[in-house]
Formats: sequence, structure tokens, C-alpha cells
Amino acid sequence: MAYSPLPALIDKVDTFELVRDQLGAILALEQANQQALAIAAAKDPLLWALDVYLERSRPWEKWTNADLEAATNTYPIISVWFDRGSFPRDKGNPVERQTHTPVYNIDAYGYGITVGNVGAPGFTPADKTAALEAQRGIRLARNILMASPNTYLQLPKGTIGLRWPDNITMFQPQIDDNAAFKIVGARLALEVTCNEFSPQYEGETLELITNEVTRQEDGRLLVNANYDYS
Amino acid sequence: MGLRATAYADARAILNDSAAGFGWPVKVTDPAGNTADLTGYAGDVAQTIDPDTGQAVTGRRAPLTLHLDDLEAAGLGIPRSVADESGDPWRIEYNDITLNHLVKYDILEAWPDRTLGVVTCWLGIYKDGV
Repeated sequence: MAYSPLPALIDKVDTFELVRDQLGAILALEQANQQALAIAAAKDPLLWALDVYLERSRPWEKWTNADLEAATNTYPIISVWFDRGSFPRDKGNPVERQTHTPVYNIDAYGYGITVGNVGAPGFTPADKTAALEAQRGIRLARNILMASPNTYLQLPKGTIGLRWPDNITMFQPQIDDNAAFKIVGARLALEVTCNEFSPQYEGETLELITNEVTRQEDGRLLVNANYDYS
Repeated sequence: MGLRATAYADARAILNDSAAGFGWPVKVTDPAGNTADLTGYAGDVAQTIDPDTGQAVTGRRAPLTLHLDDLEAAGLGIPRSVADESGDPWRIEYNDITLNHLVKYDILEAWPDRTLGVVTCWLGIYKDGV
């Protein structure tokens, strides 16, 4: 087979990777900022804390062998991962640029154990705590990512065209799942519109020429071409 | 004594055998605050749970099996999950053999077996409010 190799190393990241990393960075930085704002407002900063991970499969392992009764770092885990992308055929061209619509899953995991009331009968059940924690995580993530300063995810102008929350789904615990602690998941599917570019043919420079275009009073255009013909 | 009655009595003897068997001392507290020190089968093992996100989660599963006669003799009923948050849940306490410290649980679900006279309870970690 006659193969014409690409002239240059593919030394770049695609836009969907750039966006993926940016989503994680925004969530991680903003939750820290929110905690600082909570402290300034004399509120419990842990209610604004998120434990953000990118493309990790088991971030909740930190909970499983901890001293669960004493654990305090049980604020929601956020896991950002690229799920899928589509390329509409009517947007872009087959040579250089294709519009890409990647979908990212922003998963929130809430953790709960049953806690008795202080000095009075009653308790807060683990399953309720876990569900509310997961929803709190999704609430914070959605508000951060859909905040107006993040309309274009603080990326260079033109990198993305739109980010839009497609849906939020709660994952119901299995009915026979009688685990000693509860973990409930919630997912925000976030759709982004961006462009992907591919390596292009780079022509050889044969000759450098300079054109000067002059428009006459009667509307005629005069083109002077200067080139080295020696 | 018939075979079922024999099995019923054997189940109690087996569950109560903490000297040569797997019997383990547990403290049971009902929602009214009545407590009893009983012996049964108690465990706490790792398991995989599925929150349906496409990723399995490592969890823990803590089962407890008690004999109904022991509960009745202690003046307690059959343990069960309590949905009403204004009252106290059933609470179980026993030593974690690995960590060698007392772990408190509430009851997520109870499966009474009235054939052999045992009840298996699925436990969740319980923490006193502070």
C-alpha cells in the first residue's frame, strides 16, 4: 500500500480532553473557594466541600476501611469522566474541523451511616443521609459549572460553544443491598459543544510573493505582484 | 422429639456456643431502651455493592443471627428496621474482632425464620450523635 505519512508528530490534546481536565479543575478550585467563602460567612465549610477526582474508578475506597464511626471527611465525592461524543455530519468538514458534542458524567457519591440524635430519641438514617449528600454534591457541581463566569469554562475564546446539563439521574440502591454503610450515586450528564481539529497537509514553500491590491476611483482593482525571479 | 423440634433446639445451642463454636456476645437494645446481652452469630465482611452507576463499590456487610427464644427470654421482640426517625432504632453492639473495638449498628432489615426459630439481621453502622 502506498502510504503518505503525516509530516508531523501529533503532539497535542483534543478539545474533549482539554474540556475534561478543565471541568475537574474548575470543580476542584471552586469548591475550595466556596469553603473559604463559607468560613468568611461563619458557616461550616465542609458543607461546601467536594472531593474531586478525574477518570478514577474507585475513589470511594477511602471510605471503606476508615474508622467509619469517627470519620469526618465524608463529604461528597465527585468523579468526572468522559462518557461519549458524537460528530454531527452537517457541522464541520471532512478535511480539517468537525464539531464534537462530548458528554461528561459528573458523578456524585454520597455516603451515610445512621446517626442518633443528641439527648433525644430519634435518628437520621444512613440511606437518607447518603441520598441527600449525593444530591448536595450534584447541586454544587451544577451550580459551579453553570455559573455565568464558567459559560465558556474559562477556556480561550472559541474553544467551546456551549455547555449544557443534559439530565440528572439518581441511582436507586439495590433493594437487597444491605450494606453496613450506604453509598448513593447521582449523575449530572453535561454536554459540551466544541471543535476537533486534525493534522493538516503542510505544503512546501516554492516561492514567496507579495501582492499589493489597489482600488482605483472607477472601481477597478490593480494587483501588483512582487517576487524574486532571479 | 420430632426432627423440626430437634433442629429448633440445635439452632439455639449452636448459636449460643461461644466456647467451642462461633457464638459471639452481642448487646441488643430495642427502641424502648430495653437491653439484653445475648449470644449469636455476628460478622462484618467486605462486599461489593452496586449503586448502579456502572461502577461497583466496595462496601461492608454485617449480618447477625439470633435465636428467637433468646430474644423472647430477654423480653425483646423480633428486631426490625425502624422507618420513623422520631424514635430510636434497634441497636446492636459487639466487638469487632479485627479492630478490637466496640462497633455499634442499627438494623437495616430482619429475616425471621420461624421454622428454625432464628432471625438474621442485616446491620448498618450506627453512630451516637455528638
